[in-house]
Amino acid sequence: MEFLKADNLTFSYRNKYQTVHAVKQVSCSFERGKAYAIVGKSGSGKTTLLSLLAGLELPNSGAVVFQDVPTGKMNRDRYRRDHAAVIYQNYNLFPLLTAEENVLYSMNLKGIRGKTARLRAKKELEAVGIGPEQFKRFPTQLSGGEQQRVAIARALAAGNELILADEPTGNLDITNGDQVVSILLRLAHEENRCVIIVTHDLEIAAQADEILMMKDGVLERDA
Amino acid sequence: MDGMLLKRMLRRPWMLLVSFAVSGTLCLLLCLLIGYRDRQQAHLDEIRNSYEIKAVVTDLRGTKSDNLGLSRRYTDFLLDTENGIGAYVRDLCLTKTFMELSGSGYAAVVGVSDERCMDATDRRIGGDWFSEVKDFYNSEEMICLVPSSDYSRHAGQEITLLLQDGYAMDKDRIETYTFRVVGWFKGGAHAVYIPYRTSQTIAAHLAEAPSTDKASFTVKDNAKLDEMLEIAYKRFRKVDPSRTDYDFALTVYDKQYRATIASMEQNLRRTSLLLPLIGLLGLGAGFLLGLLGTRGEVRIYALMRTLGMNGFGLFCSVMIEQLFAPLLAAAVIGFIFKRPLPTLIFFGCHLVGCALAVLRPVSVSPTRLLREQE
Repeated sequence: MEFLKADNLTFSYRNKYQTVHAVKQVSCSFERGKAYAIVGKSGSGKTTLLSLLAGLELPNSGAVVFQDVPTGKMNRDRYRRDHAAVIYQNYNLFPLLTAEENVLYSMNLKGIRGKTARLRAKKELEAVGIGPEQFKRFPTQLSGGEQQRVAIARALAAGNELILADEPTGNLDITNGDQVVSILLRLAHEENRCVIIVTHDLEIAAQADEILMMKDGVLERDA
Repeated sequence: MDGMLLKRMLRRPWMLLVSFAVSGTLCLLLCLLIGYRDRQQAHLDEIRNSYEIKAVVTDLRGTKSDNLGLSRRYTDFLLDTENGIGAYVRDLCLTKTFMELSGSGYAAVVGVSDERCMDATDRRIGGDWFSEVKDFYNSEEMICLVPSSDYSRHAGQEITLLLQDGYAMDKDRIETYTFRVVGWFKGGAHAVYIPYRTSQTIAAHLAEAPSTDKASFTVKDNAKLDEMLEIAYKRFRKVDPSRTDYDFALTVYDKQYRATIASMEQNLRRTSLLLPLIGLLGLGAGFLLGLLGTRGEVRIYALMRTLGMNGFGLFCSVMIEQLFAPLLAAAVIGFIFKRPLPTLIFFGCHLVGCALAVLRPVSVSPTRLLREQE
């Protein structure tokens, strides 16, 4: 059973002026325990591919198959809640919730509440280097690196096996960026998750187990 | 309620306060308006119930209400509860006067059907009377009331009087009748009062066809005034100053009553028209507060969707967030004014307005965050 597979994916959408063929007949597969990097220039279709893999969009043709079930045939809200977590360049934390509450939120959606949820949030926050003194801080009181680590903790706490990160270091300095990348790699290698990182930074891509090159919506695999 | 939702709400206190204040104010306005309308309605009902509409039988031109010589055809119609208007009238006053010719000092013998028929016996305007016979006015006995100044002289005795009916065909017919003095009436009017029914028996004897000089009554139920008039005008005519023929009209003093009621009903209608307006305002306020509350929150909703919340769940969550303060305001106002239904209706309008405003932002595509990043 393959963990995640993109099977001949094609996706186009219409903007104000034209139809954009963002992804063209892309096929690839992903395994647990590995980190993948999708690289390419702006507009090459890498973020669109990520949104298809995350179940945020449905392909025009082809299928995203998660553990042998096409995402088109499953409840995609549940797929995102239970299996696929997305990490963004600009962190996207809830501004009115503290760091700890942001992590608790994704667990609450899964029905995990109370003391169990709080202990798990604490564990995941500490695992990404957020100390207890920062738990009660709001996102605006945290640095960019800390916010991104809280976003990762949120993805981890929900227990999702598939982590999809879109330019996770895009807004971070080198030190913080390296820390975030090493956390993501650790998730793949030590926690047996499948991590897919969209980046245009080739140094980050080089640290992944596999690199997928996107060019004009077409995938060019580079071992 | 979801703990996170509550925290998010409490951390936007201004939004809560604005929602509470706007909804509370409108709800308060609604309750005050309903209270005002109810008071108007109660006042209207009170006027309807307490206003005394008098009606008098007159000649056709409306110039004379005494010495009418009404035949039984008319008086029976006033008394008949099935074919006449008996069921619609109260305090019916029928009087019949005979001339007294014996030289007793009394000028007339008057048959009266109610104490309100004569000022001297009408206690509402300072009159007074006494009778040792119960239900004097409905009696058919040969009994009478004399002026209070004469009562001590006649008490328990009988007086004999020589009577003539002015409406008798035979103007020379004069008869002697004896009455037992059973009471008195206030004042020194030179008359003797006898029960109306007794007077009709005497009139039948003196003039073959008994008649009545004067008839008036009060409308029993003002709400049925028009119903009563419809029946009454089958027998009586309306006053017509141009007519000179011999017939009788019914003059109903309802002009002031109708003007008062019309004015009050118009006010009531105006107030009632404002009520749906408040509902519309509630809807509008719900819409505006919904827009205000969700402004700048679209990215948050997209994030919630990305984390796996379904569209309906998001809609419900946002609605709870938006409606918490208005619901609280409506509950408080509804409780204070004891008006659960109007506040519930107001809240329903508010909810619809809010739902209309919220639908668009919560329909956000979960891909929005990724697209923004691109």
